[in-house]
Amino acid sequence: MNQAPTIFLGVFLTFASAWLGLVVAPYLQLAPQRSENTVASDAQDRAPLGGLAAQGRDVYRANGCVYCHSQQVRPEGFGSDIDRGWGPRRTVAQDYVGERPVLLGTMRTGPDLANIGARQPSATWHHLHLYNPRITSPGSIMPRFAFLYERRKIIGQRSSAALKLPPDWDLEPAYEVVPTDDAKALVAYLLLLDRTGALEEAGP
Amino acid sequence: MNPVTSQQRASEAPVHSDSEERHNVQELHAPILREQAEPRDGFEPIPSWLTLVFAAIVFWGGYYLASYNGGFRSSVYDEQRIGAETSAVETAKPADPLVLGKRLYTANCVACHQPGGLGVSGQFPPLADSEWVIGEPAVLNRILLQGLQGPLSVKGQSYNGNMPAFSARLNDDQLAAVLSYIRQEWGNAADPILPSSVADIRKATSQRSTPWVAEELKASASAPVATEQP
Amino acid sequence: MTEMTASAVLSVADKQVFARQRAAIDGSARLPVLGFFAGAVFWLLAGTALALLASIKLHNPEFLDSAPWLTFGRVRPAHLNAVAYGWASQAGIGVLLWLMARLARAELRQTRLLLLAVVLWNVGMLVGTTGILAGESTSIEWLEFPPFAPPFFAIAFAIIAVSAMVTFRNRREPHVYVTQWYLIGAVFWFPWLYTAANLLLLYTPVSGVAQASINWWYAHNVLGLWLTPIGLGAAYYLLPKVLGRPIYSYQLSLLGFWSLALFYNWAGVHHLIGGPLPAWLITLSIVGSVMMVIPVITVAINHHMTVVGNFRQLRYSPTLRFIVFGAMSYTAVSVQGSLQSLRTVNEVTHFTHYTVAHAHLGVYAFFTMIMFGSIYYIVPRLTGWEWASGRLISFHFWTTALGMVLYFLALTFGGWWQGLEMNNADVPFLTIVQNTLPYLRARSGAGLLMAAGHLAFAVLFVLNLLRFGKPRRGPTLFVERPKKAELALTVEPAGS
Repeated sequence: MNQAPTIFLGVFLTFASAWLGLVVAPYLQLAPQRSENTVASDAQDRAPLGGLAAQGRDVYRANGCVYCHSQQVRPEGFGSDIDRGWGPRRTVAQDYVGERPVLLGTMRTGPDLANIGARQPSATWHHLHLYNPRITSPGSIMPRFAFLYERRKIIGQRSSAALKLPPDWDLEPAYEVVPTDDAKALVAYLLLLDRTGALEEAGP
Repeated sequence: MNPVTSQQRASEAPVHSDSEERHNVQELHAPILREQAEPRDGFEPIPSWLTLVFAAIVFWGGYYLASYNGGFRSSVYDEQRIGAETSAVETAKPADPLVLGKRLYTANCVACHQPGGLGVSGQFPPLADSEWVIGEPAVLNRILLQGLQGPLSVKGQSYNGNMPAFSARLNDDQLAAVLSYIRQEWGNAADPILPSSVADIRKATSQRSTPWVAEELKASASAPVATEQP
Repeated sequence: MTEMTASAVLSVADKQVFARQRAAIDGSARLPVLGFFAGAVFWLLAGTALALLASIKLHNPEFLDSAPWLTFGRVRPAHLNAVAYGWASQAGIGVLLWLMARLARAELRQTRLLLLAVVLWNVGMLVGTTGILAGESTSIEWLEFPPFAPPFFAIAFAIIAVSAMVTFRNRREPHVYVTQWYLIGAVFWFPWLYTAANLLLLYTPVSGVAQASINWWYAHNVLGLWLTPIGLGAAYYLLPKVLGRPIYSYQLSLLGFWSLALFYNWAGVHHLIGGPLPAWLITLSIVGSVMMVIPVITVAINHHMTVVGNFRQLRYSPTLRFIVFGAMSYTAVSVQGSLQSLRTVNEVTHFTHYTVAHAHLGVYAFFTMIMFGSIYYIVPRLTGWEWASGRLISFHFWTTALGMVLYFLALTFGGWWQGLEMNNADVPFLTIVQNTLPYLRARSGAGLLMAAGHLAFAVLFVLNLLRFGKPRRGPTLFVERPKKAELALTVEPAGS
C-alpha cells in the first residue's frame, strides 16, 4: 500500500462511518425534546433545574460525585437495580432531557442516585450523610464533605439550620455545624432526582 | 518516489533541520551503526482457517445486528433477547412475604433505621423492641402510609424527625410484607399484618395527605384491625 | 532504492549512507522528541502520585479529606487526565514523530514549532489539571479539563500533525511501511475526535443522552484510534528492527490495519449497555466490539510469528521485553474487551472495579509498557548516550510488570465478585462495599510497586540526559549477552 491517497481515503471513510453512526444519528434521533413514540402519562415534565438546585448540580459536577455514583436504572431482569429499589422502572432518554452535562456515571462504588430524591426525601439525612457518611451508613467508604459545612462557635442561639449530630459525632457544646450555601444547594439538587414517573417507552 | 542510485545518495549531504542545531553526526553513530536495517515485510499468506474464523465472526455480527436492532427506533430500549429471557425465566417473586419484606426493608428503610434496626441515636428511631412497631397495627399502618413527623418518644428517648410517606411508593402487599418483617425481626415478636388490613387503613385514611403527629396516632390506636390468627 | 530489504542484500557503502541519514534524522528529531519525553516522564510521576492518593482514599476515605482540592472526586479525574494526556499522549507523540521521520527517511520538519508544541501541551496540562483540582472539572469522562485548557492542546496538535504530515510528504523511502499507516491514522483521527467532542460536549453542548453517546465515542476512540495505533505502530517497527527479522505477513498487516480502522470506531457505546439509550445504538457497539477480535488475532499472529524462535532475546533486550509484554497484553485486553461487551458478561462487570482493571490492562500493560520499551530504544539514539544501569532497568521492569499483574488480579477478581453481589438484591450495598476492601488495598500495594518502577525510570531518563557515568560500548542490556557463536542467530546480534 504505497499510495498515500488510498490510506487517507480509507482512514477518512472508516472514521466517518462511525462518526455518522454514533454521533450524528443519535444526535438527530435523541436531541429533540420528546421522542415521537412517547405518550407521557403521569411523567413529570422535565423542567430545567432552576436556582438552588442548578447550583447544587454544579457542586455535584465540581466534586466528581459521578465517579462513584451512577444515575441510570437498568431494566428489569438485567442486573438487580429495580429489585434494590433504585427505581420502579428503567431510565430512558426522556429522563435526561435538557441536562448538561448528563451525569450517567459508569461506576457504582456507591449506590445509583437516579431516584435518590424519591427514595430518600429527608434533607436532614442528606446533610448528615454528606457531612460524614459514616453517621448514617456505617462501613461506607464515601469521603466526608465536611468542607461543605461550617463549624463555628454558637453565638447567642443555635442556628435553626445547624445539623443535629448524634452524641458520638457531636462537637463540643459551644460549637455547631451549619451547612454552607453549596451544601444546601447540593441537597436541593439531590432531592429533585426523581425519575419514577411512568413513561411508555420504558416498557412494561 | 523514483529510485535513487547509490551515487546520488552518497552525494546528498544530510539536510540540517530547521532548528539549525549543529549536531555532531559522528557522536550519533555508535547506537546507529549497530542498528539492523529498517524493518521489512514478509509475505506469508493469511492462514485459511483464520479466514474461516473471521467469516464466522462476521456472520455472527450480522445475525446479532439483525436480531437486536429494535427497528433502529429511538423508543425501543429493550432488544428482544432480554425480554424473551425474563418472561421465560421470570425471577419468581418470593412467595414468602418475610423474604420480600426483608428485601423491601433493605431497599427502603436501611438508610435511616439501619440493617440492625437500631436507628441512629437522636436522629432515626430504632425499630428493635420499639413499642410503635410491636404495638397496634392501626398505628403502624398509618405511619407507613402517610408518614410521621414532630416530637416522638421511642423507648424513652425523644426524637423529632421526618418519616416520609410510602403510600405512593409501596402497594398493600409490599407494605404488609415489610411491616410483618419488622414485627418479627431483631427480637420483635408481634403478629404479621395482612394486606387486607393495609388496604382497609389506606381506604380509611385516603383523605389524609399530611404526615401524622404522635398524639393523633395514639388516638387511632383504638380502631380494630385484622391480624393473622396465632 | 528502499532500505527495507534484507540486510544481506545491502552493500557496506549503502549501509553507511543509511546510517548517516539516520544520524541526521535523529539529530533533527532530538529536541522535540526529548521535549515530549521529558514532559511525559514528569506527568507519569505526577499522575502516579495522584493515582496513589486516589487508591488510598478508596479504602481509607478520611485520608487527607479536609481539603476540597484533594477530595476523591477531583483527584481521580486529575489522575486520569495526567496519565492519559500528560504521560501516554506525550510519550506517544515523541514516538510517533521519531517513527515518522525514521520511516520516511526524512528529517523531521518544523522542529522549532514542535518545541512550541511541547510548551503548549505541558502548559495545557498544568492549567487543566490544576483546574480539575480547583473544582472546574467538567465531570465528562476523559474530557474533564475545563474549557480554557483544550485550546492549548488543539494548537499544539495542529503543529504536531502538520509536522508529521509534511515529513511524510517529503519522504525519501518509497515504501510506506505498516507502522506509517497506523501513525497516519492516529494523526488524522485524534484531531477530529478532540475537536468534535469538545465542541459537542463542552463549548456548544448537545442536550440529553446524545451527549453520553458522543462522550463514549470520543473516550473509547482515544484508546482505540489514538493510543492503540501508536502502540501497535511502535511494536510493528521495533520488534522486527531489534530482531533483524521481517514482519511475518504483509497480508496480515493489511487485514489487521483495515479491520481495526473499520471496527474500533463503533465500539464506544459499549460503556452504556443497560443505559438510557435506544437498543440499536447499543447493539451496534456490541457488534463493533466483538468484531475487534479480527484485527486483534491478526496482529497477535503477525507479531508472534515475527518473534517466534527468538524469545530468548527477551533475556537481554529491555526494548524487546517491554514491547513483547505490551503486545501480549494488547491481545489479552482486547479479547477481554470483546467478551465484556456481551450483555451477559456486562450485566456483572458494568459499574464495578473489574472495568478499572480492564482499563489499566489496556493503557498500562499494553500502551505504557510499549512506550517504556520504545523510549529505551529511542533515547540513546537522540542523546548519543547509553542507559546508566541495566540493573535499574531490570528493577523498573519487574516492579511495573509484577505491579500490573497484581493490580489486574486484585481488581478483576474483586470486581467480578462485586458485580455478582450487586446483582443479588438480598446483599445489602454496604456489605458489598466492605467485601471490596481487601482488593482495593491490594491495588494500592500494586500501585506502590509501579510507583517505584516509575521513579527508577525517571532517574534513568535524567541520568541519560545528564550523560552520567562512563561512556559505554554497546547497548545497556539486562544481563551481558554471551558471545555471538553461542546464540546461533542467522543475522547480527540484536541491538538494544
